Amino acid sequence: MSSSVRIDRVDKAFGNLKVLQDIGLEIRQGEFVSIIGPSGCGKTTLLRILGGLEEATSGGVLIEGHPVSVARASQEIGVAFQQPALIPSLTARQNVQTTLDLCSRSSELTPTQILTDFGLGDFLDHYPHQLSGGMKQRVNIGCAMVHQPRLLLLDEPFGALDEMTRATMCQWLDKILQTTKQTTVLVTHSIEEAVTLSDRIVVLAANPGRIAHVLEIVLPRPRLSWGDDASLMEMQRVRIALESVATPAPAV
Amino acid sequence: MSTTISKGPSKAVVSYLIMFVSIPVFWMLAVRFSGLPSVILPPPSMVWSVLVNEAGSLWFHTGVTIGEALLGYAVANVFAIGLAVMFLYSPWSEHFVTPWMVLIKNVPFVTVASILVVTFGDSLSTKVIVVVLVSFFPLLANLVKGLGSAPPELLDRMKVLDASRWQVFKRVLWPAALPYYVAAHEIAFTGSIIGAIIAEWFFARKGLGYLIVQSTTEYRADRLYAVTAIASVLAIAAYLLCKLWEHWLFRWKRK
Repeated sequence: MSSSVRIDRVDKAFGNLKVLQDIGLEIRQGEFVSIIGPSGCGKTTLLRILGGLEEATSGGVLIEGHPVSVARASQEIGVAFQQPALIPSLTARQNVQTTLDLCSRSSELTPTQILTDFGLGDFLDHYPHQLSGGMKQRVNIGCAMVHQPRLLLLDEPFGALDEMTRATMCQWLDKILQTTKQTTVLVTHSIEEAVTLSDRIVVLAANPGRIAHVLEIVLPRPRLSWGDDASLMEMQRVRIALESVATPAPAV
Repeated sequence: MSTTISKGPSKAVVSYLIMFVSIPVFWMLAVRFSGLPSVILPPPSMVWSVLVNEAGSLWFHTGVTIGEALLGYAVANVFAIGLAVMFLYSPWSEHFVTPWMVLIKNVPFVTVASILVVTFGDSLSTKVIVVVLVSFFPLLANLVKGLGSAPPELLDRMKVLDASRWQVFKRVLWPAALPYYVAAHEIAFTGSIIGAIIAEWFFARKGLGYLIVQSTTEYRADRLYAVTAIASVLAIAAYLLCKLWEHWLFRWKRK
C-alpha cells in the first residue's frame, strides 16, 4: 500500500518548551494508527499538526504527497474532537450538511445517508441538546466523514463517554471504517480503544514527546470483544510499552 | 453567561397583567391614605383624563421620542457591531480603542449633554448622540464577549475545512454572539428610550422629555404622571419586544 501520510522529522516547541522532537512516521493508505502515551507527551499537538491547526517548528508533514495546507484547502482532512464540534442551533442533519456546504469537493454521501448508517435515522432532525453523549459523538464523526476525506483525525472522541458506550462506539467505528477504508489517526488514552481499532499503535514518550515504540496489531477483524485472550494479550503488550515510557513518580 | 428561555410566555404575560392591574390599585390607596392634594399626587382618573383629552399632543411627542430613540439605537448598533468585528479581526485595535471608550463612558453624562447643546444646539444629531452614548456600551461589551465565546473545537473544525472568514463568522461566531447580543438589547433598547427622554429634557421643544420639563414648570402633576406612564409603557414594550425576539430566535432550545 502507498503512503498516505508522511511525518518527516517533526519538532514542535511552544516558546522554550519543546513538546515534540524528531517525530518521523509513515502511515499507509487505509491504515488506522493510534497515538498513545502519558499526559503531556504531545499526542494532541501532533494530531493538530497533521490537521494544519498547528505549525511544526521544524520538519514537515505530507498528506498524499502534498503539504497539509494544500490537503486542507482541498478538504482532504476530517477531524473530530472529544468535545463534539456541533452547532447547537442546527439539527443533526443540518450539522452534517454544514460540512458539505463548506466543501468544494463532491461527496457520494448525503447527511441522511451517513447518519442513517450511523444508526441515527430516527434522530436526523434532533438538535444536539436532544441527543445523548454517544449520539452527539456519532453526529460529530459524521460531520468529519461525510465529505469522504482521505485522512480522518480523531482526538479522544470517546473520552467523555462512559465505559459501556465507549466499547459500543469503538465496535461501531471499527465497522464503519472497515467499509470506508479511510486513513485514520486516533489519539487516545485508552489501550482497549487503541487495540480494538488500530493496525499500528504509536507509543509516545514525554518531555519532549518522541516516538518510543511502534506496535503492529495483528488481530483479525472485526474485533468484537475487549475480553478475548488474543485482545487481552495485545493490550498487555501495549500496557508494557506504555509503562516503559511512563514518567517515574518524583522521589519524596 | 446563559440565556434562560421560559417554556412559554404565559407566566410572563400573567405577571405583567398583575403588575398593570396592581399599579392603579396601589396608586388609589396612596392617594386615599397620603392625604396629598391632587396638584401633587393626582388620582389615576385624573391622569387618565389627561391621556384621553390630550391624546393628540401626547401621541405627537411620543412619536418624536420613539423616532429619536430608534434612530440613535440603530446608529449605536451599527457602531457596536462594527467595532466588535474590528476587535475580533484586529485584536490590537481593541487595545488602542479601549482607553477612548473608557474615557467617553466615564465623562459625566451631564457635562457631555451640555457640551452637545453648546456645540449642536437643539438638533436631531444632539439627541441621537445622547441615545448612542446611553445604549452603545452594553451592546459593544456583550458583542465582544459573545464573539469571543465561540467553541474552540468548532473553530478548529472550520479551519480544517478551510472555511472562509465570512463562513466562520456566519456559521460559528455570530451564532455564538447572538445570546449575548439579545441580552444586551434588553438593557440597551430600553435604555435608548430613556436616553432620548433625557436628551429632550436637557434641550428640546418636542418629545416626552420636553413635556416633562413643561409640566414641571407649569405644576401640571397630572400631565407629569401621564408622561411617566407613557414612558414606562414604552420601556416595558421595548423590553417585551426583546423577550419575544429572544423567544422566537431560540425556539430550537425548547424542542
